[in-house]
Amino acid sequence: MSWVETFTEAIQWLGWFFIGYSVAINTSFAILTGLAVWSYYAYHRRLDFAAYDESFGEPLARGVSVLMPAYNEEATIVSAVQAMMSLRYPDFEVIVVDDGSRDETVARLVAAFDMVEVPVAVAEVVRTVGEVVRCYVSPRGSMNLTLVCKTNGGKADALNVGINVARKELVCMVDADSLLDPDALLHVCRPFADDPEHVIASGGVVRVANGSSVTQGRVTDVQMPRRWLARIQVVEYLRAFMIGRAGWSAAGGLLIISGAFGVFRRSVLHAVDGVATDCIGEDAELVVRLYHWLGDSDIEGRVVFVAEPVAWTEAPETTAVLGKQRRRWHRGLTEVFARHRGMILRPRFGVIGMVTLPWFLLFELCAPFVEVFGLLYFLVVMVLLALQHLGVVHTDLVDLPVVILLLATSIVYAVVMSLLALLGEELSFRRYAGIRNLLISCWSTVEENVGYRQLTAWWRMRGTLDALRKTRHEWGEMRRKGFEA
Amino acid sequence: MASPGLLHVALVLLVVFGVLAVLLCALLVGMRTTRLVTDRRRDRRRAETRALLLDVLLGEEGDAGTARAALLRRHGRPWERTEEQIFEMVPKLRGDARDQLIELLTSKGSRRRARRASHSLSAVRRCRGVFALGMLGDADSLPAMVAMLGDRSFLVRRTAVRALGNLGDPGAVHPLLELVGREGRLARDVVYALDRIGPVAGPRLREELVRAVEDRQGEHPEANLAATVLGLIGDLGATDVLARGLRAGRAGLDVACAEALGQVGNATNLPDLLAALRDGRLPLRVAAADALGLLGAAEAVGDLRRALDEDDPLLSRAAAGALCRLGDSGMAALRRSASRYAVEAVAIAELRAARAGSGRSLVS
Repeated sequence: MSWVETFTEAIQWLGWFFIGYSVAINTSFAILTGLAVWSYYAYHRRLDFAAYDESFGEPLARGVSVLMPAYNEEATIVSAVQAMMSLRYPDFEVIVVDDGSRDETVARLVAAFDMVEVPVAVAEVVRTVGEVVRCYVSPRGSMNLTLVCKTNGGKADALNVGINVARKELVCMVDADSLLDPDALLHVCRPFADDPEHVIASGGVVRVANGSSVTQGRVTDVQMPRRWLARIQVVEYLRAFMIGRAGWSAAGGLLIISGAFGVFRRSVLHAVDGVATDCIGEDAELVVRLYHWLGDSDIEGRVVFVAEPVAWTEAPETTAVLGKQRRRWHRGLTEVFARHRGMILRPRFGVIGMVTLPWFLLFELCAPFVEVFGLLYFLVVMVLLALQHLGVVHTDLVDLPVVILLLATSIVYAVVMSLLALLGEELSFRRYAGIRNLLISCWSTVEENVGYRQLTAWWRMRGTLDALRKTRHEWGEMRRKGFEA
Repeated sequence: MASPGLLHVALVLLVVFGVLAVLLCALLVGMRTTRLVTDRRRDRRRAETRALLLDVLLGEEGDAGTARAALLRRHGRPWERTEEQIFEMVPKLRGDARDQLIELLTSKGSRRRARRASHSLSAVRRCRGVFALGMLGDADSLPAMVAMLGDRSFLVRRTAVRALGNLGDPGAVHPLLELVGREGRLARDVVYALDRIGPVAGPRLREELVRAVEDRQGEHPEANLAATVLGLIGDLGATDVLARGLRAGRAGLDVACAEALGQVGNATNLPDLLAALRDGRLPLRVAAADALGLLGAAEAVGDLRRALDEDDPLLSRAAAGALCRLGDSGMAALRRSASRYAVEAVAIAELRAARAGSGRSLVS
């Protein structure tokens, strides 16, 4: 076989591979969509008599310690803590852990809440790296706000300190820039009361607050963001949470709870020694490690997703910051797989080991490589076409209409998947009200495929390479505009 | 890749997906538009119904009568919507107002419809039916509602549990506790229901607990719940049986009984709680410490001080919290202790005292 024939055959096989991969990833997502939509439909049918609003008066409501790790959050910390303090829940405390901020984060909190320095006892159950320097308590209301100032050690270490300070049975981890809906804790903690023997962790939805009005720590008027980068992320988050996580939760294979909003049993966190401080994606790593522990200890446990409770966050609006974020997330995912690769295709880890982890390996971890090389492949094919047209090569290798059509089909299929996510949102919570917001969302499903997906694939690929090369991670800073209207 | 067949397939797929995308967009816009229109209409209707209901409950005699007549004239779908709205209001009301609305519902045959719905093939309708029966407070429906505790649908069983709580009939106590023995997942709902039934459930809960304590061979998961609820309803008559449960030496039951004794607040059980505080099992010791704090008995200071000095995060903090509640002798014990939990508790107590002394609650 001549090199031309070999090359031709390789190009053809690669082409089939890319087609098959695209079909597989989108079809599996369609299945997840079906599961998610079915779960939302069942949820809404139950609403009339589910008495969710009676949860507030539940005698067996578990106490919750809300942990907010903070680093240089002066712009948003006061409004974020105000929102946390006015959550509707019968028994909770808020613990802000300042990780050695160099701005006015601590000063603003102390001033805003009249905080007083108090020698809070910090248990040494979970190992920590940084040292606790001082603690403050607010004398307001039921005195359930604590500020712990520690030396810098990273977000995971701050969470571990918070776990050691926490007094309640459940621990809720949020980001300092997250704003929770008033009933968010009521909903996200419900599974622990529903199934106290088995539920060990529960996660809620994270939505993009950009473009929305925020008044005194509450998102009051939800609007689609004006800037293209933020509004595409709205659709992306909808796909990831409303469909992806709901679908996996319905299938019993939820792998990840967002670090921006997740609740865990404190006793379980003690058993696994808290959050890993040597891993970028500490939130995902924690949940996978929980599954690892459940499987190794032969304990029956569940991690669930609840679609109703919402944490609002500020999404990056510049490519520089977004790129760093996506690179970090994917590096975290790679590190998680590197650590827990022994769980893949092992029956003792149930659906997680046999279905979820292999799916994430193929369609999340490897996806950016396939996308980037798919783009390169397309460029190579275009070059070959040009050469063929100029008479430089004579292979009759490619048929331009077929290539264009297949590429277009792949893009339109992806748009359909995103529109199905919007349908799931329409059938459930419809937080972005009005026709205008809906039309913007629909347009964003198209915009996403022209530049955005390719950029994120590139960043994600670099994240994996960073993990493999173990390069030093630079957190950088996301300049926050703050939430207040 | 030059196959005409492949070209044809690609073209068909592109057209199919393209049409699907356009249809989805149209569907989304159509759903949203319809929803906006129906929501506005629904809000208008609900406002009108709410105004009539408020007239019935709070209006002058003439206005109340007119409003009631207007509501009773509704039939079919308009009445179904009104009925839904009334069922939303009923749980939030007490006394005459609640009775008036229930009378309005029963005069329009809601009880009959609820009973019929509770036999429906649809699980959702059966849920609606049993929910309505609970709200209507129909004591005659007790046997039917108890039977639904064995429904094939988990959702119906859960709704039936809560509905029995809303019904408030002590005849539901035994079936509810039996259910917990079979289905632990409904424990939260059973506790809610028993708490709603309230003090009238006390005698039967005590009977269940006595039976469980006396049967040394069998497993009685419902006994823990019975103890918990006795504490929640503050049943003074249960202190003896709770003390027996505490001494029975069964893990879980002893903790529930210790917590309940603290909530009931009878100081005659002090020796049992002190013995539990000295016991080796951590959960029981923590529960006993909390209970001693709630009892407010100064005799417990010494034992609580010893527990405080053990420097266990759970036990020491519970002991510190209990000592804070024991007045001057408790605070003195805390100040003498070098435990970091004592130092923390004293600091917070002083902060609380300073706040009270300044006359401000500093509520944000």
